[in-house]
Order: sequence, then C-alpha cells, then structure tokens
Amino acid sequence: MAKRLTKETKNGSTYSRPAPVEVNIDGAINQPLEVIRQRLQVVSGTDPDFLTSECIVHLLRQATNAGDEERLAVLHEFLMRRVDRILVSKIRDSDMPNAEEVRLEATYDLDVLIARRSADLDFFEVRFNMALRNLYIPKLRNARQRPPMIPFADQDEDPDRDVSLQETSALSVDIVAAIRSLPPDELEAFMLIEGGYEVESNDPQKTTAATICGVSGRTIRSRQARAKEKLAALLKDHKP
Amino acid sequence: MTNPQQPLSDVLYWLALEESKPTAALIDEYRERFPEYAEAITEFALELAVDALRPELTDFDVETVTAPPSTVVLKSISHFQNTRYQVAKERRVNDAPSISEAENALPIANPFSKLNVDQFRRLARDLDTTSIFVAKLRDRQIVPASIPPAFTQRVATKLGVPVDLVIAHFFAKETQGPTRVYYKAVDKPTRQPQETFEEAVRNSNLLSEQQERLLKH
Repeated sequence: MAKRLTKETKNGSTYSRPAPVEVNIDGAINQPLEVIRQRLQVVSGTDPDFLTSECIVHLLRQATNAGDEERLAVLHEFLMRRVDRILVSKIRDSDMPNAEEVRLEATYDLDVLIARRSADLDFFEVRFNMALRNLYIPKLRNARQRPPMIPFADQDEDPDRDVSLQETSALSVDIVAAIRSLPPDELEAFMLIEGGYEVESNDPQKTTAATICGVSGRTIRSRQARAKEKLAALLKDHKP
Repeated sequence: MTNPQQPLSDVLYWLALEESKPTAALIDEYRERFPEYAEAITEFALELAVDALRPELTDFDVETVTAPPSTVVLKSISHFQNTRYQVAKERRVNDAPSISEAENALPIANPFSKLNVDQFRRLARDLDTTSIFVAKLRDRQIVPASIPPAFTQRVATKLGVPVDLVIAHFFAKETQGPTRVYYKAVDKPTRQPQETFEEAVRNSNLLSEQQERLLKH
C-alpha cells in the first residue's frame, strides 16, 4: 500500500489519492524495472497496464528514497516525455516567441521538486495535470512581458462584434494565443466579466470586476471593449 | 482549519486542484479566505480559466514514448542530474563533521575497489572508455568538479551503486598510496596532479570517436 500523503486540503484534511491512482500504484509498486519499462510504453489511458502520471510520480519518489538510480532515470525520462507533450499542447509556439523556454522552465521546476523530494509532489500524486499548471502558469505570466505577437486590427474596426469565451473555445486554438497576448489589464477585465463578475455595483460590500482591479466601472468597460475588439478582429481573420 | 500562515504556493495548488474551473464564486471564496493573497489568487485564477480553453491530454500518442527525446526532455534529464548533484553537495556541506570528527572518520568507500580485473575491464567497456581512464576515476585523478553529472550518473548506474556514493568518492580526500610496495625505479612514484575531465579523456588512450562521445556529456 502506498504511503499516505501529508499535504492538507484547504479544509485541513489530508489529501488522498483518487482510488484509481491508488490501485495503479498498488499494482506497480513492487514490479521489477523491466515490467515498469514495458508498462511505460503503454499510451492509452484505458489500457489496464497504463501507468498514470500520478503513479509515476509516486514511483519516482520511492526510487529517490531508495537510491535506485536506474529506476529513477527510467521513470524520470518517461515522465518528462509526458510533461513535454502536455506542455506542447498547452503552451504552443504560436502563443509567444519564447514558448519553448517557458516549457523548459516549467520542466526544470518539476525536476527540482523531485530532486529535492519536495512535499509539493503530493499534489502531483492527486491530479498531475492540474498540479502541473502551478509550474507553467507563473512562467507564462512572466513571459508575457513582451509586445503582442499578433497584429491587431485598428480599434474602430467592427466595434459591435461580440465575443464570448463560449464562442472562442469552439474556434481555432490561436484564439487562446490571442487571449494570452492581451495586455494584462484587458485580459483581466475580459476574464473577470466572462467569469461572472459584475462590472460594478451600487453595493459597496460587493466584489466586482471594478473593485478587484481597483478602477472605475467605466475603465473596466473600456478595457473589456478593447479586448473584445482585438479578439473580434482575430475571429474575423480566422473565419473560413 | 487551515493555518492562517498558509504559504501562497499551497493556496494556489488548492485552487488548481479544484474540481470546477474558476468562477466568480470560487475566486471570491478564496479571496475572502486568504485576503493577503487576493491579488495573486485573482491573477492565477484568470490564467487557469484561459488555460482551461485548451483540452486536457488524457492519452498520449506512441511517439511520446518511442520518438527520440526532444530537446526539452534531454535538457531536463541533464538538469535533473545537475540538481541532484547539487542537492547531494548541499547535504554534504550541511552534514560536514567537525575537524576532530573528520580526523576520526572512516575513509569513504571506494565503489571501484570491489571490482575484480574482469569486472574492471567490463566497466571500462560499458562506459565506452579504457581501463586507464577508469583507473583515473578509481584513483581520483580527475578534478571532481570537472566530471559531468551525466557521466557520474552513468558510472553509478554501471557500478550499481547510488550516485551519491560515486560523487562522495570523487570528492573525497586523496587516499594514501600503498605502503608496503617495493619499486624497481630509484624514486618512489609520486601522486600526479589531478587532470580535468577533458584532459583525462585526451590522455587515456581513447579513440577519437570515444573522446568525442565522452566530451558530449
């Protein structure tokens, strides 16, 4: 049976792995390296021999503690192959000029967590892909300190075009790149409204997009409008 | 209840691991609970929302496991080994014994000493080197800081010992030479100054292709 996790949830209880992850770990924990090697070749998540990324993290921690260098090297390489694949799907070269650098930095952070036997790896044993976002999202934010890659249309072009995330999610992935390339204040206003916040309120106790950003409702509307205009121009460009 | 001094990184992990994608209600819950991190929570939540627009990978393609490793993967492997090497070094510094303890301490085990002649030659072959080169590793004739971590890792793997042990051996103080040995030469042999890894590669009767491969580490 796998060792219990020690990290606590926001409610103070200890995190536990999802049942399928526990089963996956129990099946793999005592298997010889040759068997693990074969199982690492399985790529379909529905195959019973598939090793989840959560399970691989657990096996890596176990190999680190045992000083099993060969097992550690094999598991690390395969985990990083997956991480690279995930990051390529999440941070595309079209997002920014230094996308590969961002992917590499996030990978390095995970290396450090493993090498230092960080307790944060508990989160990766619970939901690997979700926890991985904590490594690459801060890198994305830092990398955004650069001029927009995408040539936006003039601001008076097609001003009434309305854009919502429901619409953009069904379209080309370049829209995500476009959203990511918005200036921080416009992105913030756009996403807060999309996330369900009111622009402003007469109730001073209510949290709104304006109170979060510390600006007036009018400024929020203006930022939101600019963001929409830029995205609308892109949508127009991408229409068949 | 959670600790009021909860580190920001934990709070952001909790947010990332939430079942639902960030909504105004969820962001408000976190902002109210951790007002000291309100700004960071909002920024992170917005990024999570954008990130959610791209689908999550649940399956991998065959290429993920069969193709040659990408540049990012290769760099990560090297970085991982370097970081482990660094961690081991830090641990040694933190655990460094006092001078008197060091004087009384047993010498660090030489992981090469257990090898017989055949095993020694096989190791040289497995490492794609010569016996001369392996002897330099055994006798700590190479400046330890110049030995690439990836090569140290390979040595550990081939020897079947933890990499920390090999690192400790390379960094250990030079041991005394054999005392009860008679020499034909007039002068007793003296210990040669250490070579760098590159010098050792160049001066160990290695083929030029072997040298190139070793220096790629």
